[in-house]
Amino acid sequence: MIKKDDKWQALADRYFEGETTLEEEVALREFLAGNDDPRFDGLRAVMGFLVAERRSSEARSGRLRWIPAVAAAVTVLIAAGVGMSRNTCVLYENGNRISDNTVVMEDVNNTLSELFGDSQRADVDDILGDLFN
Amino acid sequence: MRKVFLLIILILVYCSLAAQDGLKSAPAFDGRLIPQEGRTETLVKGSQLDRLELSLFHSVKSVISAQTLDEIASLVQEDAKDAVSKEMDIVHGRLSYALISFQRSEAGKGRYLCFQSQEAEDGRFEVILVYMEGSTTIDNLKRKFSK
Repeated sequence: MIKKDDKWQALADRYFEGETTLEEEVALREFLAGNDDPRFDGLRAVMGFLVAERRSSEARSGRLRWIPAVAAAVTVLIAAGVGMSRNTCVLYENGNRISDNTVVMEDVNNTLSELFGDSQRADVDDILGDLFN
Repeated sequence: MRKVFLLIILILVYCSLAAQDGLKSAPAFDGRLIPQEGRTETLVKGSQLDRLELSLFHSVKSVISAQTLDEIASLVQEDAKDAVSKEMDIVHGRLSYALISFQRSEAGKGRYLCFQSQEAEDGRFEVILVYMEGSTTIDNLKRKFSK
């Protein structure tokens, strides 16, 4: 048992020297998980700290991973929105979208002609209305 | 992620159509009063309107029932209460024509609401409702489009 612990102590020493392989570190971690020998408290603390730090770092990066994507999406949509708000030329007829500028502007002109082209009509109607009411 | 995209798109669409949102007659523009079927809606913003000295043109045209017409007409008449100038024509007790100018914005931009209705052969009414913004005036538009 003592010999076995000496083996782990030697491995721990090599770990602190930075000479252990990945497999040895995994073995050390497994050993520490099933052992409460106070001689390994230091190693347990260091390895535990590193594991906790790695998990925390992964969690942080997981939480923040979506931020660049959302930022990019917002930028694209704002740019599209600014473009859309600056220049829009569209007509919907029975729910069908027409974006041909010529057709849309012809509709604008026809509508304005209908509204303003007969601008004296209101006055005439008023007079006739007054006469017959 | 999809929810974020959808939300942003909805906000953009809403913003593009919300210019006349402060008006009482906004429900006539956004489809709450005039159903999509048979409706012609035109939305123009930007350089296409430079010639007309306008920055926004939003029109809705449709053939609607007398009841819907009366609802829209009463909203337009409500809007007329906030007008700085207006021309209105009432035929047989029904609003048939309105040109309403609102207070200009701080940037000097004029805001106009126009309404016209005409009885169709089937007893319903052809209605035109237009909201416009721009540096032009109603008189300028009359000059440009007078026959």
